[in-house]
Amino acid sequence: MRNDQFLIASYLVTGLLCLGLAVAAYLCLRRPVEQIFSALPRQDWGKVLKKAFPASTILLALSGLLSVSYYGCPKRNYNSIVSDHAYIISVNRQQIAATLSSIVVAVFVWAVIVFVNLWSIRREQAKEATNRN
Amino acid sequence: MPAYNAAAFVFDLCIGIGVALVVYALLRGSLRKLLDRVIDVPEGTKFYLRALVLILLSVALNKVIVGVHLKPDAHFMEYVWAVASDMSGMFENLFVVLLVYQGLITVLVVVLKPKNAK
Repeated sequence: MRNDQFLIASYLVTGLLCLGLAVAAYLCLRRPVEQIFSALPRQDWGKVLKKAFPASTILLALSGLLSVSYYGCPKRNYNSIVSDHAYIISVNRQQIAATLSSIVVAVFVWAVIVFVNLWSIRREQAKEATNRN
Repeated sequence: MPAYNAAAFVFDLCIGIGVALVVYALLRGSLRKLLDRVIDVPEGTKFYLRALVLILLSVALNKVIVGVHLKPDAHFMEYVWAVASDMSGMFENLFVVLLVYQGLITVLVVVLKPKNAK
């Protein structure tokens, strides 16, 4: 395989792998998140959150992948990058690691959003109980 | 010794995933009971448990993936040190992540209050 082809193939495989990780994280949390948002007193808000969840999770994970630079530090030129397969593989590993870090950040952010929504559901239930009494 | 790179990576991977799953198994039972008492929506408990396992696995794999990458002429003990250094970083990251998660759960419990709390 030529150096250019190796670089393109490794970039593509790593990209697909990172996309797979992001989609797996989304699918893992999708059902509970959708059911929690369905229980929200404001249905329109629940719908917005349901649509924002996959978009933000997958985009944040992909931003982790894309944030890794091939040029490195000290800065290399294109020819030295493309001829060094070990370096390309190490950058691919960094891309996967950056994607995993972004997934952690996304899950924490959504855990906070879910918490705020659970709080809102609790408050609504308490209000209803007070009105009944 | 290029085979050592692969062996060290597999060893790193097994330890990383193993530690993450052991931590999750240790926390799961009591965390589920606590969340069931605190959260009205049953799916809420499921969400926080799944979020925990995702976070633990991602953090463990994050350190392992970048991990061991030594030159072919490196000595056996250099691989051992590389794996040990990875483990150290992974434990540190797991500690930080658990701290943040526990902080979040503490706020959740304080704000939502368990159903039979007096």
